[in-house]
Amino acid sequence: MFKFAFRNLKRNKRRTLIALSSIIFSGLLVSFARFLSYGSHQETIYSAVQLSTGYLQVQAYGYAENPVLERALDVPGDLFSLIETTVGEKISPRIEGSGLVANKQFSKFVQVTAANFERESKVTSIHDKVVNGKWPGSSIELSSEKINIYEAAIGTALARKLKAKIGTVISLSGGQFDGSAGAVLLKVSGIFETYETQLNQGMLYIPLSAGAALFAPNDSETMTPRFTSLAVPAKDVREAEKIYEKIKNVLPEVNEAKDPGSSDYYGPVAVFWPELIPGLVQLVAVDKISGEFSLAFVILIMSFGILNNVQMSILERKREFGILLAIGTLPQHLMKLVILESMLLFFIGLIPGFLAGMAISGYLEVNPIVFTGDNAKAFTESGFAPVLRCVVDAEQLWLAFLSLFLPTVIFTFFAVRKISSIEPVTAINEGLT
Amino acid sequence: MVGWSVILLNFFIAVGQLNSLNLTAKTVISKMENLTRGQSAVAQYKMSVKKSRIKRTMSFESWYDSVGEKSFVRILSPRKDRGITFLKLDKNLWQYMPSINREIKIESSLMSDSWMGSDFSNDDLVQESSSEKDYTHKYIESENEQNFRIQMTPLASSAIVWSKVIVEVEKITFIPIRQEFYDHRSRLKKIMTFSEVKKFGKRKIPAKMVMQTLKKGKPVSTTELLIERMQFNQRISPKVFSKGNLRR
Repeated sequence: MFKFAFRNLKRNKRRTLIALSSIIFSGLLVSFARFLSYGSHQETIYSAVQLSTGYLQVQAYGYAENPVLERALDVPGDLFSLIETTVGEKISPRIEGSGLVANKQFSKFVQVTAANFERESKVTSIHDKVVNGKWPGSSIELSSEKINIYEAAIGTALARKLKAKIGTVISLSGGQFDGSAGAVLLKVSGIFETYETQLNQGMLYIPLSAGAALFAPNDSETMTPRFTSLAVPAKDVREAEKIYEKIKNVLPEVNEAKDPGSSDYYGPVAVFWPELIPGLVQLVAVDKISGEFSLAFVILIMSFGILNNVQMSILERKREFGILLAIGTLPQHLMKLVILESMLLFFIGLIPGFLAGMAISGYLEVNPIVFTGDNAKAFTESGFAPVLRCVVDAEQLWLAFLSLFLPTVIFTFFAVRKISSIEPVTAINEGLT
Repeated sequence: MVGWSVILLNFFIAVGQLNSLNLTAKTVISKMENLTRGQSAVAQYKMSVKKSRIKRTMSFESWYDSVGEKSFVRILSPRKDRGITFLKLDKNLWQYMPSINREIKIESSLMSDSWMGSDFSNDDLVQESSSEKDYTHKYIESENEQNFRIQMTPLASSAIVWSKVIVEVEKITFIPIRQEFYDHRSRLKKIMTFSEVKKFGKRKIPAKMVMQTLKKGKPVSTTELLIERMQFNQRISPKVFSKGNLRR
């Protein structure tokens, strides 16, 4: 039967070639598009996680929903060491909040991250993005009025806005844990630039000691330290997931009902990256859907090509099939034959298509295209990392296969049904006239 | 005699009510604002803030000039906040932070933000907006016959964040009773209640104001503001409303 099928495919070489090229092209396009969007999404999430949140944090219950200083986590020494022993590595306590940064008459409302950067560098890579100066350390200078001056890092866009350079002393004021007004003096020690415009414009990094002075989060009576989050280092998503499970097991279970953001319970909970960057997760989901829609068009076009191909091949051989039916061949046999032809065609086309798609994607996985300048803006303004990177992934390949295979099968069956309605006598006669 | 005096009393009350009914809603608000603000005032307040994890008390002095739209506030206690000052001058709000010995300009977009972590806003504190001038007013039905209930809708030109504010004012005295603040989805976000009417100089005004912030209809934090001392319509030296006074 294989022989027959092959012979039949060879009989009309031109049509077979056209069909084949459409399948090769679809296979290439669909697999490449999937690897690309998968890669870009991973890149976008990975960069965000790398730049800001890390894969995993321990926070007070409700902080993820309502990230205000008031929902900071009480971190007595035993909780801190419990988490560190569970993780097996140093964790990075952070105080995050907002404040007004000012240099003379220039001011801007910014987000503030205070952290110990030795610990923080195990979690995020923002310190690598310094383009000028150095990442702030914990050294403190005294001003002429004997006021502490801490070091700080700001983004390029914020530096422009504030007309600040390395060494400029700026002020930062913000609400403290108890609501009173806090303020610190900072000296710009480093200026960074990332693809995320939000970070460049509106983020300020200061050492943990400056954060403690500015936000005064610690319990005023017991002096229990408070942090808005404890960022936990992890090599990749997989490792993060394992650590996440471990931490969840050692932390007390939360039995709070709805509305965590305004709950009166402030106990520690482990928070995994999708909850840390919900906006981005949503953005990626929406982008995925629009991606699926455009792929559906490609697939639809290819499927109609196959339908047409199979239908034509049946129509052309109507007389032949009539004779075969007349001499006693079962219609099922003929159907099987045509289906086999169609499947052969599909796989012969798909395999090189996929191979080509994987080859291009593989190349882009190793050598991603990184956009800069105005080209990058198109990406970053819509919230994505300005990187074209593919990731060759088995699940994506399987999805690409299914999305091509199922329509092909359905359309082939649809076309093949015709065979059972061939009347041998009319078919033979039709061919004669 | 008793009968006469009852009739007379009834008559006066009736006249009083008639009088007040002839007033426009705007006039009522104007009279209320005039009563509580005066042309100028020097006062000392005690403020306590209560949230689920926070309880704190502070006291501050305030100078206020209604005519020149200027005001000045100095924190007296607690110790760590002592010396923080605020000056509103020419539509600008300045804050002086002694801990860094610097003045900070508070953007007008932050006027509706919380003042010192309380339920009052920067605007409430420096009385940037005026209930009389920045709103349109109309009467709405009041459950309590003793009170006017007036709905105030902010003018488009004002920077007020509320979609409407409902004010209850006592009819004869024009003493404020209660204010309700609604957001743009007409959800009740804040309630301010006035109580403990006391005499400050010649004026009888509520000495206690309680502002509650609501989330999904439930109060999440409460600030109590007590007037400890208040003098109206005194001449205030222009030096008070100067940037130099911030660092004093």
